[in-house]
Order: sequence, then C-alpha cells, then structure tokens
Amino acid sequence: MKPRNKALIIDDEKAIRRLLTLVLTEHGYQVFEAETAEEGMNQAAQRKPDVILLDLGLPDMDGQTALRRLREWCTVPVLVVSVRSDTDEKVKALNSGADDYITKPFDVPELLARLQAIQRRAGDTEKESVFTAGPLFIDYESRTVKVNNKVVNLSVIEYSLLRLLAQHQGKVITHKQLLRDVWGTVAEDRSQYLRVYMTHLRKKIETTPRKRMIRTEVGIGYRLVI
Amino acid sequence: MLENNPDKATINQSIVPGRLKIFLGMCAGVGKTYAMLQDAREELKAGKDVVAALVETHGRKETQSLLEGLPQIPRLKSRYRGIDLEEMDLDAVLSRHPKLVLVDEAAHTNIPGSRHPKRYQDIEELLAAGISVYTTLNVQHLESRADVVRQITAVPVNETVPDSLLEKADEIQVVDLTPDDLRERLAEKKVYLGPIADIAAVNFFKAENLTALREMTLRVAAEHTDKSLRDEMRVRGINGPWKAGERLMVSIGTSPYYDSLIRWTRRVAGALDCGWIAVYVETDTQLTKAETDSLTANLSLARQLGAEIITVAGHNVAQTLLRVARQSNVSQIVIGKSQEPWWHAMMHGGSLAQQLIRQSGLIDIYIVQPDKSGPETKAPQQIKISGTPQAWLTAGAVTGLLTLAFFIFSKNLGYGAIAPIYLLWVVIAGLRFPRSVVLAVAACCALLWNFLFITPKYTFAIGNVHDATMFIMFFVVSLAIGQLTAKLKTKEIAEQKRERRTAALYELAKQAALAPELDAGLTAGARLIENLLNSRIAITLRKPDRTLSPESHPASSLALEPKEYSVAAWVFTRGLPAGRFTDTLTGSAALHLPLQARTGIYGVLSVQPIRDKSFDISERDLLEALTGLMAAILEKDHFIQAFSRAEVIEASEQLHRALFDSVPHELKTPLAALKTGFESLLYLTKPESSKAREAAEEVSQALQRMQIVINNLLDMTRIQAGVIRPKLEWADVEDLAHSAIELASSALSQHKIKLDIGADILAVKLDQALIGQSLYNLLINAANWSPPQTAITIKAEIKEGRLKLVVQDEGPGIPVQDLTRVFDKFYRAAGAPTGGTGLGLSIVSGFVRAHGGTVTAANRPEGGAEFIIDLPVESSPTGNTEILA
Repeated sequence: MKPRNKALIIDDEKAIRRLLTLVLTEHGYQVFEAETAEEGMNQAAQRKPDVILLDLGLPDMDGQTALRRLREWCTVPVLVVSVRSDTDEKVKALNSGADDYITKPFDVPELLARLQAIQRRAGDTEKESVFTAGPLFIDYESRTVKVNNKVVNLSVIEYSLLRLLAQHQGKVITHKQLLRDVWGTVAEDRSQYLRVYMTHLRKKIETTPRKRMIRTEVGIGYRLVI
Repeated sequence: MLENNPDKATINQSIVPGRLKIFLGMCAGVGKTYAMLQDAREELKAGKDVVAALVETHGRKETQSLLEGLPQIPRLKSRYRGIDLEEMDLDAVLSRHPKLVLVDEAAHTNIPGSRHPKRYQDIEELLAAGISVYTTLNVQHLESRADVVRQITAVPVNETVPDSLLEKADEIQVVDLTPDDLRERLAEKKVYLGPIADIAAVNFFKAENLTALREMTLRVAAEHTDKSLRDEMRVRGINGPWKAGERLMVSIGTSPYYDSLIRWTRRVAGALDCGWIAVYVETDTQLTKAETDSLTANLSLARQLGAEIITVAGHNVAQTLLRVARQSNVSQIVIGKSQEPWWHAMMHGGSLAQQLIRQSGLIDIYIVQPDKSGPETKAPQQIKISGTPQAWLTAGAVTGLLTLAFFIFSKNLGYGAIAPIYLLWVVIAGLRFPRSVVLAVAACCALLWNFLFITPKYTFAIGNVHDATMFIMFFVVSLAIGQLTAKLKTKEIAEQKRERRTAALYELAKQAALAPELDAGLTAGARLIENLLNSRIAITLRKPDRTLSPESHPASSLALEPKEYSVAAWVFTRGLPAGRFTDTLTGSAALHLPLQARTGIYGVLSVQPIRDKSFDISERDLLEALTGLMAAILEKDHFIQAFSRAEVIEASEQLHRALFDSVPHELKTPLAALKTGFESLLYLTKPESSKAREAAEEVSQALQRMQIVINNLLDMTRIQAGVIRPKLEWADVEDLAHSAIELASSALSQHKIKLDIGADILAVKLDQALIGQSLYNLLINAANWSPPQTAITIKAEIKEGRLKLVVQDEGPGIPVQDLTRVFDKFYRAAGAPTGGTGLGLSIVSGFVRAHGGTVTAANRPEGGAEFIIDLPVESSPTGNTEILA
C-alpha cells in the first residue's frame, strides 16, 4: 500500500472545507485546511502536500495572484475549485499554472477523478512506454496507435497531439499548451491549426460518437477521457 | 432665408449617388432617344441591371424596336382635367432599384399633383437614391440659355431645367446632326413636333436657327468638358489656369427684368467657373403684391441656377451691397442699368452704379442692360395708396375745419400767418398718418392757401412775385416735411418689424430652450410661431430609432392628413423643405420644413397659414430662424438624454459587476456545500433500504434542478443586462454539436441522436460558449418533449454567409398558438414536464440575438417540432489546411 496522499484545501468557506475534508479522508487522503491564501502558502511549504485544492475567491488575495505566487516555488499539482464559470477565468488559471479547474457546485466522483488525473502526471507517466485505456493503445517507443486492436496511421502532428493528451489523461490541456508543445511558441495564437488537426485525429480514432475519447472544453482546450 | 441651404441636403446622405449621363441635342429630332437606347442595350448586354422607366418613342419604328427587349416599368396613368396622362412611376422605380434607369426628356413638366413639378427633380431623387440615370435634353431647355434661344428663334421656351443638372452629369454625350440633315428628316416627317406641328414650331427649324442652336449645344458640351478637365486637374493637384478666389454677386430687385441679369451672371460665373451670389437688399419701402411676386420669382430663378441667396436689410443699397460683397469675398458685382429718373439719383447722392463705383475699391462693377424684350409679365404699376379710410376722413376733416377757421378769422390773421399754421398741421399729420395721406394733406393745404387766401382770391393765379415765391416755398417745404416725416414713420415700422423678429427669437430661446421639459418648451415654441405667423402648425419628431414618428407632437395645432404626413416624411428623409410655397410637392396645403441641426434631422415642422396667404420675405426669414432654433433645442435635448443614458449605463454596469461577481458566489457556494454534503452522506451511510434510496434519488434530482434554475437565472440576468458580447473564434461546428450532445448525454440517454452536418462546413467564426449552450438547451428541450426511442436530429448548413443550426424532434410538435410564445420568459406550454424553469428557450433566443442571429420554432410537415438558429457567420471552407503542411 502506498503512503497516504496529502491534500491541502485552501477555501474560505468553512462548510466546503469540512465537507471536502470528509470526502477526501474517506478516499484515503490526509487532509490539511487553510482559510486564507497566506495560510495556504505556509501550509504548502510546511506540509508538502501531494495535491492542492484552491478556491479563487479568497479574502486576502486574488486567487490568480495566489496561484502565480505558489507556482514561483512549488510544483505540486493544483486543482482550482471555484464558482466562477466563465471561460476567460478558467483559461487564465490554467495558463497561470493550475493543473485543472472544476466549478462549484461539482459532482463528487468528478472531483475525485480530476484529482487522480492531475496527480498521475506527478507520477512517471512520461517514462512509461505503453498507454492502454479503453479501446486505445499507444506504444510510445514504436509510435504505434491501435484502436480496438486495429492499427491507426497518424501523421506526426496527430500523433504528438494524442501522446500529449494521453500522457495527461483526464486532465484538460489548453490550446496554448498544446500549440506550444506540438508546434513551438510561435504558433501559440494559431488555434485554427489545432482545430483542423483535432478534427482529423478524431476521425481516425473516435469509434462511438456519443462518447468521444477526446472531449472539447469549449474555449479552453481538450481532454482525453476514457 | 429658406432658399439659402444648399448644403443641408447632403448631410444625411450616406448612399453613393448614382451616375448621370445626359444625351444632349440641339433640338427635337436629332436622335437622342435612339442614342440613349443603343447605349442602354450595350449596358444590358454587359450584364447590367437596366430598366426603362420612361422612353418616348413617338411611334418611330427604329426607336420602338430598340426599346423591345429592355425591361420596363409600367407608367403611372392618371386623369387630369379630363385627359388621360402618363407619368413615370417614381416610387416603382425606387422600390425596384435597378442599377441604371432610362428617363427620357429631362425638361418635361409633370402633371399637377405629382411629387415634383419637374421631371429633372425626379431624376435628382433617383440619383440621390443611388440609381444611375440616362436622360435626354435639348439645349433650348437649359435655364441659362432660355432667353438666348428666345432671342434667336422668337419662340418662347416654357419648360426649362436648371444648369445644375448639367453640372451634376458625369457624362454628356452630344447627339449631333447637321441642320441640313435635320431639315431633310423633317421633310420626310421623321421628326415629331408635338401634337400640333404649328407655325411656331416650323419657324423654329429655320436653317439659321438650327445653326445657332447647334453652336450653342457644342459650346455647352465644350464648357462641361473644360470644367471636368479642370476638376480632374484640381483633383490630381496639377496647377491649372483657373482663377483663384473669383466670386460674382448680382444685385436683385423687384423688377421682372432682373431675370436676364440673373442669367447673364450665371453664364459669366459658369465661364469663369466660380461661385456666385444673388443679393436682395430689403429697404424701407413697402412692396406691392406684384413686386413681392416678381422678387420671389427672381430669387427662385437665381436659386435654380445655382446661386447662393442672401437677403439683407439696409437703408442704403450701395453700402449694403458692398458690405455683403466684402463679407463674402466677392470679386465682381453685377447690377442692372438704372431705370430710375435722373432726379431720383440726384436726391440719393448719385445712382446706384455711381455710388458703387465710388466706394467699391478693388471690387469690379459690371453694369448690364436688362433685356426688356422678354414676356411682359409686369402688372400695370399700381398707385400705392396707403392709409385707412378713417385716416383719410380725419385728415380731411381737420384740414376742412382749419380752413374754415382761417376763413372766418382771415381778416385778423392775415394770409401770411396762415401758412406756418398749415405747415404745423402737415408736420402733425406726418407723425400721425401714412405717407399718401400726408402728401395729400400737404398738397391740399398749399392749394387751399393759394386759392382762398392769396390775392387774387378764389383763383390759383398769384398777383405778385412775393406771393408767388411764398407759395412755391410753402409748397416745397410742406411736401418735404410730409415726405420726411413719412419716411421716419416707415423706418419706425421697419424697425418695429426687426425688433419683433429679434423679440420672437429671444422669446423662443427663453421659453423653449430654458424650459425644464422638452414638451413644455416645444408647446411654448409652437404657440409663438402660430401667433407670429398667424398659422396652424404641426411638429412631428424623430423617434429613438431615427425614423419619423407617425404621430404629431401634442403641441401641434394642425392635424396632418395622411397626404400631408407623407410630404413630411419625404422632408424628413431628404432634409429639404417641401410642400406649399416650395417647388416640391406643391399640391400640399402646408409648408413642411426639416428641423435640421448640425447632427441630424430631428423632425419636421409643418406650417399652414390660417388665412390663405403666402409668407413674405421677412416672415420666411423669421420662420427659417425659428426652425433652426427649434432644431437646436431638440438637438440639445437629444444630447442631454444621451448623456443621462450614458450615466444610467455606467450605473447599471456597476450594479452588473456586483451582481455577477457576488450573486453567483452567494448562490452557488451553499449549493455546492449542499451537494457535496449530500453526496458524502450517501457515500458514508450507503443506504440499504429501497425507501431511503428512493428519497436520496429525489433529493439528488431536486439539487440538480436547483443548479439548472440558478444557472438559467444567472444567464437570463446577463441577457437582460445586455452585457453579452460574443467572443468570435474559429470553431468546428461538428465538434460544437458533439460537445453539446456530450453535455446533455444523461438527458438524451433514451433518444437516438442523428447528426447531419453539411460537408462544406469546416470552420465558422462564432462564440462557442453561447452557441454551444444554445444547442444544449435545444437538445434538452427536444428530449423533454419527445417520447423515448425517437430520434433527435441536429442539422447544420451554411449558405450566403449564414449558418443554420436546426434541432428536430419527433414529438407531438408545438401548438400553433404557442409557436411565437415559446421563446417568452417563464413561458411554459401546457403539459410541460416538471423541473423546467421556462427559461431554457428564452436563453437560447437571448444568446442567439446577442450574436446577431435569430431563432425560430416551427412544426415539421412530417411531424415533430424544429428549432432553427440562423446566424451571420464568417466561414472558412478551406479550413486552413494548406498552411499546416
């Protein structure tokens, strides 16, 4: 059995904090709570959590600022939990270093899935040589992609996109991150490249139209969900 | 002055005016219509949208055959004085809006009751509407050449068009024929001379006349070419031979002879290619009806010929003219040769010409002999008799009584003393009575004195030199006194008139401009105009959407009949005065003036005099000033309102920020706590009993509903606050549809989903969040209203820059009476499933409208309902693939 995961909850709502603690403890986390951003920073430094749940509406500091300050010294995966649902806010948080974003009110199973997904990155998915989930199989060494055991021929760019999504399975990857990783920084604002290649990629690997593997997060990015 | 607004018409025009091509000929029969039709057929062949609105073939076969095959607009038939007449259907042409329209014979006079008295005005309206026009014109119909033509041919020209039409022309094509050829055609009866080929018309076609007319035609065309060449040089910044700063000014009077003077000035101004001004100096003398009429005619002629009109008041004509000339940078003044008797000039310190020449300095003076050979329209000079009968009676009675008293006491007084007393009476009369009475009194006194008191008595003969001198002195002095005092009096009246005008403007400014409310101000202004001009008026204002309100403002005292309202509406769109006393839509009972301020037309002022009279110059001047002031008041109010609206918007934005930052937080946080709490409770206790699970299911559904309600309410608030600004991004329609289906997957679990996305749609620019949410709401709606296992179809197609997204179901459809109401807020159709808010569809409508599109509901013929989102989008059919390779 692995050592217990440590989670830090930074939220000024006492009820949310207590309920999250209850749920996370039940799912094997050791939980720490912080009411303000300042306290959250201290806790993060002292307790060295494996994952941080951050609310954006904190009394002492704007959530986005808190996120940037945290990222200056800390690489712990951060899940933003906020009532703000507009796309701009989400993109900003993700580009400031958050690993994923979930809006209140949320579904508990969804929250747990997201937490798992962002922690997996902290594990060594990048070193694994093979990816298997549902009908999808990827062999990173031979660059082979199979869907339902049938080999799919992907172009270099399509493959790079799929690999990036697979390595961060379940986690949203913003347009900017995808573009930077696949095309380099010059293409950061060319989301139409991405849209076209994503359409091609989907035509090759999607099998059930009602339950696609690559989900579109409108205005934010893409997520591989299997 | 009403005439003095040449620029106003162009202020509101954003339409590119059409092009005008004139086919110019020396007279009828040279083949203008034929040439026009040939050209039009070329254009038609080249694929241009050409329409013939009015082409007179006069039964000529060659012309008729050219006309065949050209699309035509039927003429408007009407009956006037028992004769069936046909005119161009202007409104039909405007609504058909072709690229190019053919309108024959620009100089034609429309039948009374048409919108414009003249056809060339119809053409101007077509041009202003952005329609290009081909028309034909004979040189004799050109206003500035009309008098020359009359001199050459001795045939009066009745139908004329202003030279400005020629200046407007982008192209002039001369249709030329030698006089011999024309006479040959005439002999072969190939030329139509009108219904009666009378002697005048035959005289007209004499060889020497035709030669002169031909020369004139070519010269007109040459002038036009010259002018366009110079314009071109100017546009390209080439230094050319034009004279800088030339400006002509013609002094206009009340005599009908001035029309030749005006035409002369126009020709010279045309040749010099410079602007010109026509000035009328209003002096103290009262004008007779005939004088007012010919003055109005002169002014409107000058305006038609393109002059800027200025009227000024002044005692001394020469000084006033020079003042205006200096203010307007005039380089040359044109005046008529004096028709005044020599002694008149003596009395005023030289004739007008002499005075001008003496004081003009650098300004050149032209003295032109007016042409008196024109039609004699002047009424026989009326002897001006002013004064009420009462004044005449009083003056007569006093003179009689005085004379009677002198007669009784003449022995005591002596005839010498009587004269000063008579003089005293003349002075008193001068202060009391109008000029005619005073002059009569002065003459009477002199004669009575001579007849009754100077020896030999009871004759007009005078015995000695002394008495004769006395009598002549008396006669001259009394007339002079009478004249002077009367002059003082007219000056005083003029002064009063001017003061009345100033007072009126001040009063309107005070009452209307300073009124706390616009309505009160307008009412005060309306009453003032009514009293001053003895008229009834109607004010029709602009609505916030910048169209003319169908109702008159409550301050109006004149009810506008539909016909009058249509005139007002025309004035509103064109920004030009129309109706009575103007030359547009003259058949209407009222004068309609645009309330034009700097930033636009704020409405129309309609004035109808109570007694059937026209407005004189000073009244029209006053009306113009009052209209301008009223427009300024409306403009001021418009800005005040715009300003306060801006303040309200700012306040609402602050409120909105508060609303959208804190309200969602306050609503969603406890809901999140509730949901998390409930789910963890469920997880921790793991209820075994089916009853507990049932209860848990209910609670969880209620929570789900509450979440939807809160989201819908927040979306609705955003729509209502008008703060939704679509963020356009390239999007993949298919992906958008899939995302909406995924989001709605639990609600759609019982239905089959079909996707029908047009293969040509690769990428469109839209706000994915707004349209995605709209699609989601439509899917949820379809799922709620159609039975399980039926299909829900999403269709997308792109056509002419519009994206159509259709969601179809196989449910019972929508009751017809509900088709438009389904998008109303909180509207829930009968039998709606529980759990909805009645907001889903109105949010769709709000989002789509914010995006500039429309959403409609319909029943499909094969059963089931469909919702159609129609959006204007930018699309990229290629999908940018090539740049990626």
